[in-house]
Amino acid sequence: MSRLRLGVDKLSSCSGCINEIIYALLSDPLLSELIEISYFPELQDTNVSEGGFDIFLIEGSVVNREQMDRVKEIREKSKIVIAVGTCSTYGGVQSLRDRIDINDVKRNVYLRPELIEVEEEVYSIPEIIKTDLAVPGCPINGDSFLRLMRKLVLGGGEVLILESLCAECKRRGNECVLTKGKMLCLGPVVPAGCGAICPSFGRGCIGCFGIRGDLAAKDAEKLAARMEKLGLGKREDIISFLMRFSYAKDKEYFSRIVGGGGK
Amino acid sequence: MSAEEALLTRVEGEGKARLVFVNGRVEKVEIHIFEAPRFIEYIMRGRRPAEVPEIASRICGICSVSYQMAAATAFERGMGIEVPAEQDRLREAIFYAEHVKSNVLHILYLQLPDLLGAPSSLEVFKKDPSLHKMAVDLFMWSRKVMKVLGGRYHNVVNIRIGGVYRMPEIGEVASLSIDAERAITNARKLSEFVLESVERLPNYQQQIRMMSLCSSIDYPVISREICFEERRFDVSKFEDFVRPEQVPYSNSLRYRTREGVVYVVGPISRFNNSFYSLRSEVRRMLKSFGFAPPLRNIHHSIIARAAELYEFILRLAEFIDSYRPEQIELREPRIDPGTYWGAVEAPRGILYHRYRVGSRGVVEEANIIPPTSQNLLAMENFSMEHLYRMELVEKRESREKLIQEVQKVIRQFDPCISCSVH
Ligand code: SF4
Ligand code: SF4
Ligand code: SF4
Repeated sequence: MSRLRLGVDKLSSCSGCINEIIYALLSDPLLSELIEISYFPELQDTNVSEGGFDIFLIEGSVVNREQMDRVKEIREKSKIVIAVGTCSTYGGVQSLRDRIDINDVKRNVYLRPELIEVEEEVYSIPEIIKTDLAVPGCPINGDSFLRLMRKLVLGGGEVLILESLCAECKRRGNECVLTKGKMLCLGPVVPAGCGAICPSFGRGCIGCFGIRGDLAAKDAEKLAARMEKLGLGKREDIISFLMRFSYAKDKEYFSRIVGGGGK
Repeated sequence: MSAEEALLTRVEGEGKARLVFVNGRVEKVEIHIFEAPRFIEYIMRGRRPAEVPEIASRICGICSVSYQMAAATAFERGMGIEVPAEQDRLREAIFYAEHVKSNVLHILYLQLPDLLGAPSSLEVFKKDPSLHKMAVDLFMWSRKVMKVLGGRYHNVVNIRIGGVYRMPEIGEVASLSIDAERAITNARKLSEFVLESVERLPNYQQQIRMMSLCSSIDYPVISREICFEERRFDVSKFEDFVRPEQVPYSNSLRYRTREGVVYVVGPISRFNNSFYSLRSEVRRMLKSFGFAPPLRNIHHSIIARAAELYEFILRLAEFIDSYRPEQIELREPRIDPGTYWGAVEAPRGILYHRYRVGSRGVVEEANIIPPTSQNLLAMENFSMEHLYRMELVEKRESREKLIQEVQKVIRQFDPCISCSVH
């Protein structure tokens, strides 16, 4: 049996997910047996993209033309494209500079802002191409990612996550920080997947796995209104919390509420 | 004029090296950081200080603890917030674990092929499976430590301004000690393996101008003081001491001192400036291989990395053995308007943060200077120097060979490109 050709590339990101991918790929002998890593510049010198890919993993969000073209090219060459991580799925924290005059943003950081080429907007991968799967997490959970890869190489189908973090949190036997501790926790609208790390550390979830795929930002906003009623913070702050990792999920909606990213 | 370029591989992030030839001679080495910037400093504006460590941690997944610690300590020191002793020790331990992770990653997956002249780590592991087993074991142990102490391996969730969110139970921490002995042995063996292999590296002496944090009592990890050769100054003076510059071919700013000196941050500088604060076992190990400060060859950074790997594992094991949880009081700290400075030694060198908080209690300005941005000029200079010292140009080596050699020099710095375009 010929091995599946795998490609991995990163765009704008912190490489945290790349490292979880490395962990997943290298810690499982089955994957090393069934997968051939054809393209992965972070890990190896010899990289070939001719002949296409069976599976391609993309980390990071798109912020310039070059990346946009690269993503489209990847799509053409690959059978399955997976957006890996919250940057790639929802734009991640860097999308918070969206809808702000980009020249203002550049001037804030650079001595010669005119030399820096970036788009006005930060894009998630599904905004640019059709992805077959999107795996959120900032970073992704390496162990669940490993299970997903195993399933894919063995011929398993799609996985749809419709469970909230709260379910995972309950199973873990955590004391609810929201009801008991009166802390802001986004668990009810965030997909399960991390293992409820933050509540187990006595703090609320800040939504690094993004807002659940089947929920609209509007639904999340209902949660914000409810949380405000419970006295867990000002509505504006809660919304800003909700969009921190998920801005690209519903840009129109979020930008109407806060009039731009940045805050 | 002509040029040869190549994608930088086995580094973290997106960059390429470019050699410029004039009449067959290499005139210039340029490091193009083409990874697009994320403007995280801009994103921090308008946010409460309590949110800052969390956002800062997304600058680099590999050394997120460094980012969180630099941000948290900036506000703590500026506001005179005392971090209770055990929480402080816990945070430091998470920091040590991050250094261990980074060193193992760098040595094994990024640098090993260069060290042994092999095509890839995988080839080396095929020949020497015990080496691989040892390394993976160590890697997995540091992963478990980070998980128990910090919540996860990348972007840990247990660091806040004023301390931690939760102290793990004594039993959870004690469970780490089961494998600690083996981790120490593995770290020592891996370090020794590196030290043994050093003789294969290019051997020449060069002038390296070193900058690191320093502390009169300890090997520096967090400190308010910066050392540059004979000079010592407070971290709040850092921006008076260095100046940024920008070139058209790179998205990362670069730094030199105000006087124009190109300097180096990272393990080799820490090692040379603070060798005598390393544990005596570590110093003994180094001496048995004939190594002592000053190291004067950038390829010898790996000696410093090997020493630190062993040092930080020992420190972690000591922490695990003596851990005592204490009660935590969670309160959002009060941060007055003002300017706050912080610096830590990230695995790759000095990481500097400055925040200005305005009257509304939110950040109005942030400036972050990561290690790679400071090392870029030295990377270019040392790459050039290497080609001529090894007489590679004279020997009419192929362009591919030249660029491979340049890549080796660049990897000595373990550059973190994503951070440099934060
Ligand atoms: S999703 Fe988060 S952890 Fe993953 S690359 Fe992006 S910023 Fe890093
Ligand atoms: S702590 Fe958060 S995630 Fe856990 S049950 Fe409560 S609201 Fe849900
Ligand atoms: S609890 Fe929420 S914020 Fe914390 S790691 Fe999980 S998804 Fe991320």
